[in-house]
Amino acid sequence: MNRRESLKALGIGTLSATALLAGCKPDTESKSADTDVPVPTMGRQDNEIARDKALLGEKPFFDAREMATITILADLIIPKDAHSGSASDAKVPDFIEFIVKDEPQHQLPMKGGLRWLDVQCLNRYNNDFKDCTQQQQIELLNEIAYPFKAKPEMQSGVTFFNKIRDLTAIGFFTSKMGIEYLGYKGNTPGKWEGVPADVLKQYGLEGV
Amino acid sequence: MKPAGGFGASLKNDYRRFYGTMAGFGCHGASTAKEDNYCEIDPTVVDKYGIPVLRFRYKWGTDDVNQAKHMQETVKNILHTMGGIPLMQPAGPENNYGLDKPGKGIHEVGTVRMGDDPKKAPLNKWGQAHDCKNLFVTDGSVFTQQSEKNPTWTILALSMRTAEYLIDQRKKQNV
Repeated sequence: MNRRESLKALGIGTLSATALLAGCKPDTESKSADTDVPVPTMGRQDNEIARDKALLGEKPFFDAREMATITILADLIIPKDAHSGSASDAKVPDFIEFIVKDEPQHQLPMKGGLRWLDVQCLNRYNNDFKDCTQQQQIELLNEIAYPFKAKPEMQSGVTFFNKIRDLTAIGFFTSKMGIEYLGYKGNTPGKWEGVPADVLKQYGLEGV
Repeated sequence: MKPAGGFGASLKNDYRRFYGTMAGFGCHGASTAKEDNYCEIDPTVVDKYGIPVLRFRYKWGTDDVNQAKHMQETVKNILHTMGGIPLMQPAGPENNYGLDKPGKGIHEVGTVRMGDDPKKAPLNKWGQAHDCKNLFVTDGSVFTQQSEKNPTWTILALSMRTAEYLIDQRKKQNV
């Protein structure tokens, strides 16, 4: 996914929460996706716009338990700190829900990886990942978060964690919050506030 | 040095610390035109409008590969002089020093080239057809060689040249 696409996806990702909530009410789901959800249209082909709308109209890919797990993982990867909010504050879980529909090659590795994580936790701690203590969660992540140090039997976990770490970072750093955290200014438009006060004073025009 | 990977506050901090510290180099070169690199109408494949597509026969020559080798060496020197840390190993002879597949970075020029010999080129040096004096071509297809640059200015310059020739020939009642 290139930068332009990820920016586009995030713009939609943050909106998809609305579409998903609306989806709870049976009749409004497809309607809201087709008509109410704004999608970027500038410089885009009709078939691209139609595709974005169709993706947003689809049923959620992840169930509630998976979304809860994704949210916990995303916040463990990018937590809140003194400079910015966490991944979930930047709506990264919504971005991940969108991107697996936009790029379906993530679907199987994500579903399977989440299940792998839960099976590991059930065997070790007798709980799903999301219901483990944070200490237990971190203990497990320590075994899959360092590709060059991980044991061979943890490779499936490493593959999954590499993916969710990448998706979390893409989601976070293409959000407004993430961009501000980096200090990226880009082509920030100037703000015209009229003739400067000292110049007005010089010509005695303060009151005009 | 920290182990690669990780998560949490430390990773988040690394993302910010290293943001903007990476640089990449992309090099463009001119592929030397050769007669045995050509395109032709594909007899079997059509596009979505039902029009036969072009198919290409294109192979890199020694000059092209050597150019890529030179680019790799130059970039390596720049990186070294700047005090950078290479994050990737440079491509070597086993994959043509990182040359893309032909067609990966292109401008569509050539195919109706200029040339003195009517057997080898459909147009003369003025962009005028050898076998039809009233036919002039003024776009990128008259090129005999593409440079590493964008072709628009060259197209404009050649068009202007052809236009002046055309006016001159018209005045002389040759066309």
